[in-house]
Amino acid sequence: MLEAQDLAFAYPGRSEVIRGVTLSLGKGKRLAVAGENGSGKTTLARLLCGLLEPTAGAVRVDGLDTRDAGTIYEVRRRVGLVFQDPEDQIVETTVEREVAFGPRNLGLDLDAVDCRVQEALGTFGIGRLAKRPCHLLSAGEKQLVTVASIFAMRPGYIILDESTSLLDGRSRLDLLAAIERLLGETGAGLVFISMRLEDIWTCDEVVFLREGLVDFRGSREGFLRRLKELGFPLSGMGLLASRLDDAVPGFLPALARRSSLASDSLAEVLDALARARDGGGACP
Amino acid sequence: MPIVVRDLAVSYFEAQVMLGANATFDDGLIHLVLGATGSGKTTLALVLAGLLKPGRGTVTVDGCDPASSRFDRSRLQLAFQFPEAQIFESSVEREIEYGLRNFAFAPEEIVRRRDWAVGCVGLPHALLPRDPSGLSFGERRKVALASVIALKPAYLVLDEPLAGLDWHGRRSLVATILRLKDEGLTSLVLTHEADLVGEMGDTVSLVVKGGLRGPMPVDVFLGSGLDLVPDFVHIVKELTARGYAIEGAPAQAEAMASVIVKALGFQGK
Repeated sequence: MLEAQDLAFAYPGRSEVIRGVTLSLGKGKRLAVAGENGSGKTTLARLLCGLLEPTAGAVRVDGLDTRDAGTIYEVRRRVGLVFQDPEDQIVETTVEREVAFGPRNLGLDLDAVDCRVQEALGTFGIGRLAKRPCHLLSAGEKQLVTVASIFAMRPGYIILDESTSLLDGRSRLDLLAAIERLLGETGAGLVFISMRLEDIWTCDEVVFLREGLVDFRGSREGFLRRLKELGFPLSGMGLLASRLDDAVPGFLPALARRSSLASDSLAEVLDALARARDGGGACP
Repeated sequence: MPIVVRDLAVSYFEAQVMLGANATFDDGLIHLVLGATGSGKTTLALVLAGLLKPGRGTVTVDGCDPASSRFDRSRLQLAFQFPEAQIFESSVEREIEYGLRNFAFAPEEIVRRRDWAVGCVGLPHALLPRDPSGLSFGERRKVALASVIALKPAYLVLDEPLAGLDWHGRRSLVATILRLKDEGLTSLVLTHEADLVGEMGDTVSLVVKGGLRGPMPVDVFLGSGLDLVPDFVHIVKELTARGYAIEGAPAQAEAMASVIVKALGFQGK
């Protein structure tokens, strides 16, 4: 279990960036963290992996307190953070060396490292980039490399800090599918920081931060309703889902039972609702 | 004068990114340039700004090579994909004022334009005295965009401007680009976000297989059946396959919702 209890943090000489944040994430669960720019999402990510120490409250990873210097390396082994800006994370010269960096530092033997690298490159569809120098990759490619690098370490909990922000639609769907598969295989827990409703819809629960405080914690559909209540301007699939919620009875509860906001998922829900209305089938 | 790209080829060592791209971007319009991850959007942006010399072919802005010393740099501004690539000042206000000072605007005009640009991207005024390095990623992106918009160049090249922006930031930026168009400015927005097509953009160009397709009108793009169209447009195909008669594929998510509600015979709640 990854737990934050009444968490607060202030950078030196500044007021608190986050305060009173309490959340928990079990193995195999997915928690979305959403919020506006500057609301404290990245700070929370750094606290959850022990990169920052809370100024009040505590973070526990399977019972290990992140402030305990004696177990901090174990904490970092168990929680993998994918940085928002790939430039902050990439340290190696080529893609395969970058993905191997984590597993090598875990002390795995060379065959095991190689196995992890090949697996990660294959899973995230970046095998063709293996020998490429990292600094010659596009921003989106770098983003895929950083995600693959962390998954290659097989942490118990993975934190993605807006890791889909630079990916095109196809790459994003591929990434989400790969993550889904890996979480299923490894049983890891996921903290998915994102402002995209499509990403958030793949999670079990949503924490919405506003100015460092938890504004909302609950279901995906509850979060969408909260955004509407606040008058936040949505776009794309989020806007479409929001408008269909206004006009189609039972739409959001039916959509809430699905973990994808993609077109095919929405079409299935609409089709099932139309059939149920016409007496041609059970409500989805 | 239009921005003209002719037979543009660029490679980074063994990786060939552009393989002979051609396009003409007319003045006074918003041109969306869509492409998949790694397709060459940033390479095109760098060539347009004169920061990267093509291996072959030419680019002309105002009839001039943007990499030449004769090119008037105040005419075209590029907002980099990563704000770190351009931010270097000690405070947010100094960062946004930097370009304005360098182009010798009067002090009161500098303040006026700075405050206008800050409003355009939805950056809180309280952040003006702050050190940009202490801001969040999304806030730094807003600073970088504001510093470029404040210059009101004739040509604005924005490389993935929406990545990392929050809901309001995105809406403000779209409104700003539309407003700048009214003032006669030409924008090239390089993005992977096809959803933008419904929000702004007079033309769409695609970076595919080392070339440029387009510029084409938005409806031609939407009807192209290409992978890069917004996901909400695919719902028409999905519903059609389920036997529903859907007419048209609007570029706006809102209009799409109305079309679907009507076609499926929902009466509202």
